[in-house]
Amino acid sequence: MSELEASLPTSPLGTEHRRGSELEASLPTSPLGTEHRRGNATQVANAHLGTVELRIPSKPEWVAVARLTIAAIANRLPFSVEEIEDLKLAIAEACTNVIQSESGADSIEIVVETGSAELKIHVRDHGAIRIRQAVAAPLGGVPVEGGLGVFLIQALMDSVEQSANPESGNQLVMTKRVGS
Amino acid sequence: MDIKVNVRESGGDAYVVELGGEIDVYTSPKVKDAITELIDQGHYNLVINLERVRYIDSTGLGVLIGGLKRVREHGGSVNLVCTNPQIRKIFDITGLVKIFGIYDDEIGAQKALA
Repeated sequence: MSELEASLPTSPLGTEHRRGSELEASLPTSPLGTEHRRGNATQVANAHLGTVELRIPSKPEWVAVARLTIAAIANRLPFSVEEIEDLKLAIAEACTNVIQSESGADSIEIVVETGSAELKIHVRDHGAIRIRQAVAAPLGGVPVEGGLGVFLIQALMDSVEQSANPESGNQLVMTKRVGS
Repeated sequence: MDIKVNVRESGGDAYVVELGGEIDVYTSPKVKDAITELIDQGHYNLVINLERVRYIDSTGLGVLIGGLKRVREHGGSVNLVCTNPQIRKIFDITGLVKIFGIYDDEIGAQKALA
């Protein structure tokens, strides 16, 4: 028994696995196989398009890149032109908050979870811990010059959450649904 | 990303600041400089024309608010020209529509300064 086992080159499962690998390797240009794989990928994308990550320097001249990126992502979903403008403003405000906080953050991490009908955007930095409060423009008087950013984000997005701790840094998570 | 700032006299002691492009954290200092220069020269009645502005965020709003505060200290005023619905919406959301005079054209904004 032990001799028999020793004579077998691999376990059946291992052999099967290797055969599968060989089969795939031998059919690199099979149109059917390629189409099949693409079909699966498309099905997954319909449910969840994927996650896009962007890291920009925490400097004013890079905020436009975040705006353009979010617009390009939002264009893949059935957002209206107005909703895409809302998203551009919200991402810019979140990035601007990091830059203007002078918290010492070198970069801003933007992670966009793209669902079939919503975008969930994480904006993170590892500067000094803070949570920015929304400041609305007081009616009748001249408002303060800063602090409108978070107020705008809250007005334009469906949900906004802020968190801050020394390990994960500062994070603002905002979600916008199509047609909301 | 671009911003165009054009300053011109418009009769009386009023000046028009015509802006074009995108006003954000990167470009707003240029707008602030133009407005500050006018105020420093003693011009306190301003029309800021946003018709060609495609985008404005809170930093741009902050510059406009700062300008308004300064001219009010001298009895002046800032009126805006804004026809872009997306930009108008930002003034509505923030309540700034009640603080600035917002007009559909320069003539209306200038007349209201008088």
